[in-house]
Amino acid sequence: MRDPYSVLGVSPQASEDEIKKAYRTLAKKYHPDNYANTEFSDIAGEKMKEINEAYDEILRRRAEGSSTAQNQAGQGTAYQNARVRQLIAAGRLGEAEVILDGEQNRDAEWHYLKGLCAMYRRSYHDAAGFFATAHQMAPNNGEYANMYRRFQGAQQNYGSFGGGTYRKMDACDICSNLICLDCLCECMGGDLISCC
Amino acid sequence: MLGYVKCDEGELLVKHQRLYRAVYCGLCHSIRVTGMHALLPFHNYDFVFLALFRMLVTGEPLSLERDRCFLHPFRKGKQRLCHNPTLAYTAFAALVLTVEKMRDDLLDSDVSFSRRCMIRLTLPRLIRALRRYEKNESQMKGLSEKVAALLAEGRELEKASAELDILCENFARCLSLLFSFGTSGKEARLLSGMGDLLGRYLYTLDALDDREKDLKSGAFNPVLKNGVLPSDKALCQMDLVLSFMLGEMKKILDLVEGEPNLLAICENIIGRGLPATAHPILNPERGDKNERPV
Repeated sequence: MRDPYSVLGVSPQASEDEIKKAYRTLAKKYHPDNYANTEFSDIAGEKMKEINEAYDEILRRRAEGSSTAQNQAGQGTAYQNARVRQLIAAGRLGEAEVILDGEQNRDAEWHYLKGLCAMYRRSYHDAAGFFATAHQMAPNNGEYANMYRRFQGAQQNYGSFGGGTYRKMDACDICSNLICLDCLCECMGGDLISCC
Repeated sequence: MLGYVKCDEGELLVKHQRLYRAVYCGLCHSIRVTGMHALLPFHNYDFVFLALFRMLVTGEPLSLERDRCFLHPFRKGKQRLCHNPTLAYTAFAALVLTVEKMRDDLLDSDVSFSRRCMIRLTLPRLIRALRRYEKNESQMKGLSEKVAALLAEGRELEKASAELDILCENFARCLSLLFSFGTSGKEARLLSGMGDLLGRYLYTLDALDDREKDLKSGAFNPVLKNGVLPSDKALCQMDLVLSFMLGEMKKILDLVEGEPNLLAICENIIGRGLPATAHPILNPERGDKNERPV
């Protein structure tokens, strides 16, 4: 299954209202009634099914996330995931980082949240490292994988543009350039390389 | 495709404008690479939509490179799309349709002497390029014959003064074939559906555009009923039908999952460019006919 957030076209940090709004917009767009009596009704049906599944998956994940946080808070051992997420969403990165830094249990979620803080601070190298670790620790988590792929994708895109533009200089280039320069100097009455 | 399929550049983001032009330049480059140089004078933005939509549906990777323009060698180089199978196919489809349009013009009594001379000079070169390409690319064989047969059928229907819907159907089948040739499954269905609707839309628009010219010359035009121009009510009805077709095209576009930039340009063409072209045709007194979105 594709990342449910990308199916709905929202960010993983989106609020419940935003997710509901995106779901309603898409459901309206791909509603079977819109494609009734057309040859594309089956394709639209598949799309609608995918949207419904994505929405259900997001709701399930969020419900799981909040219950986990509540359990952990009850035990008094875990850090406050939901609180940190809220702080990051509100742009209060300093407070979020204070909570994260005081945490002893550094699991995939911790690395992911640290990565988000670093990303919003534009420390992209740090962020890439945190996201890679989070993805490595929990490879089945779509949210971590999505963020990890974002960095990977960006690297590939810009790599391909830059790669073809510049060519490294090799020994033949250096020799031919020196010979050309020597010829030019000799034309002007001088000599750059006396042996040739 | 009759000169109506353009984007509304004023509504495009700069990056989309650049991509749109890059596809145009890429198509020009592909025409040269595939040895269809005779087609260059007829190269326009119409077939860019076919290339964009096919790339969107087939998921062809976009790869850009900077190059100087063949026609403007002293200008600064611009980005263009690298040669790829979709661009090669689009060039071939453009060649097929141009050849058939010229053959159609030769049979048309309204065509001016100068255009007739131009066609007589150019057509043999275009046909040679077509045969050469078909010989090299065996999978393209059969397309030109099918398109020719459909357009010949359309001519026969026009001679028999058929209804607008029947004539639209014929051109729709032709564009449906051009859009979906060489594809299969879901891709073919989406491409064929878009070609079908675009064919109906363009045929109706072309008939409306030529209504006054055909009224003067006495040529057949399906929108002229008993030699009379359509009433305002009939024009409103046609406007509704055209808008419905655009809505259906948009629905097909919604089902396509592809490169977001290509999708944005296609949305612009369907949602902005085509209505902008239709507006002056449907409202001749309110719009400037020579106003062009591109």
